[in-house]
Amino acid sequence: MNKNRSENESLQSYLELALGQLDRAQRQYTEKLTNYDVRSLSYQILKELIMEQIQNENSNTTAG
Amino acid sequence: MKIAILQLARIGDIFQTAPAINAYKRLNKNHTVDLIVRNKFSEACDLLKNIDSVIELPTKHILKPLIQANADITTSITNLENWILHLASQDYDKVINLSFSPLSSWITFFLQSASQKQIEVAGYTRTSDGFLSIPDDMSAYVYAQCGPGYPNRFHLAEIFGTLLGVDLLPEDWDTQELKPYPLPFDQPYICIQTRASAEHKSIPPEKIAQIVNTLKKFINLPIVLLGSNLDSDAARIVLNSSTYQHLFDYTGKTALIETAAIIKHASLFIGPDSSLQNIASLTGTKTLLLSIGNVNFFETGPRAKGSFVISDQDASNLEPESIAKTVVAMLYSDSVVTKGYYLVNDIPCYKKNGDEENLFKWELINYIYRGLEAPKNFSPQFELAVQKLYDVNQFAIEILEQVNQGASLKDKVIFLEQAEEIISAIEKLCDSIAPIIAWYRTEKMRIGPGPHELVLQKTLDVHKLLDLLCTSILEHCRSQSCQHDLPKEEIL
Repeated sequence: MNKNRSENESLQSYLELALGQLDRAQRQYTEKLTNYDVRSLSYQILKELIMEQIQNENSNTTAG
Repeated sequence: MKIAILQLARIGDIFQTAPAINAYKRLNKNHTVDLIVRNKFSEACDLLKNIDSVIELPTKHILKPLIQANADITTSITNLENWILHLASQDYDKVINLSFSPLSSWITFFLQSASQKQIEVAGYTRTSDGFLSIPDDMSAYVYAQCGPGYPNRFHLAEIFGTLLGVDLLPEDWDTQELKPYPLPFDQPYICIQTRASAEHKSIPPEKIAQIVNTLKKFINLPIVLLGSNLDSDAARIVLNSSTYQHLFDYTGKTALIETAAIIKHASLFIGPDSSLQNIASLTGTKTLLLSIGNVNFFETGPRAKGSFVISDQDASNLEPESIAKTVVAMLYSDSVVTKGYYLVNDIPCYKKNGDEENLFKWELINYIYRGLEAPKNFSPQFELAVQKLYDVNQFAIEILEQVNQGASLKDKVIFLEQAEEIISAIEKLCDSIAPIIAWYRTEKMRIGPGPHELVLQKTLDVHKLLDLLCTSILEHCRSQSCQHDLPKEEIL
């Protein structure tokens, strides 16, 4: 159980770090865009996927 | 016609989607139906009929490059794009998003944006400026009125059916053919699941052991404990704490389709609000749902004929003797006298046994959304709150009319913000008005981006609808108000 908890915590830390990096990359990419394109939507979808994952880890459910 | 159905919620939601898909295919035999689910839950689709392709969202594959000291965002994005561009290349005519989540709304928006044609969409998507877009009334209803702690009493199966444009029939609760699973006895049996996907919905194994031990006084049928390998510890506690002789632990020992086969042939399924009780609905297995905590079982509860729900905030309040008697009644007679909810062929699909319920908010929802009779028991506080809402809405309409006639929105926006603050205050002071305010806020939120005049007109339309709603409710209140003595002090 403790091993699982520690794995979840480190998974969560990686995801939180990645979210910060992704956020910066997304801002850089979309700075000059006026409309969504494939890449800008992909950034957004990836962010949502990470945020859901973090939320699920926090709520301690089996979703993922 | 090729349609994509997005079901990116949990395994239980995939099962709840099955009746709507079956009904859709019953009515549209030649349509192609693809179901998009998370790969973690795709095993659930083995039970479903009428799906042409299951497309899995490979969450792990997409996120794996991020799980390291230097997150590899480029690979992660490439993995995602490979998946989503493949999905977009399927050239769907219709996308039905049953997930009600930000992620699914962006995926739906991607499919719309990537398509060369106008895709028909139901469910959450995004506007051109990235805000949540809710194109259909059913999803707007879900946004405003559904979830734990909310007054909704429409079952998810019917909500999904509405989003797919179909009415459900009893025969739509059905699965793929399930081969009987060999069990070490040849007599009727009961299935029990202890854990749900979330701890707050689960029943402690010690409580299950007490229930099983009490059942010994009344029955001698084999009891099969079911669940995944995550449930095995709980099952072991039940086994160790129970004196029931015919107890069989199958947790973590069967594939989902085998578990479904065991449930199908059981005389009764007992468990918390979980995916297995959703399977029992599809296999037509009578279910005793022990609904624990802040769960809205009206949305997710059992649908097999003869099912019953015992609901309590705290599992420790469940009385083993009462549950055991309910089990006996469900097995051997049609009449259950326990306090709880029995299944009916109506909306909502459960009716309370015993005391009358205070259904004011649900009645209000029916009045707003279905045009049914207004609630009968308006309180003086509610009437005052609606009066205040009417007044502040009149004020907002006046301001918006001024802007419509050329006044500067910049100068007037402060008054509109004040009106919204007053609406929030009214909601805080009178909880029973919440369904009206949730409806109003959702309709405002549904106004997408566009030219100033159009947005202004749509905003005015929502306020005018709120005006009509408040006026009509106040008329009902006044027709009843001779029965009330209004309080002397006002609520604001």
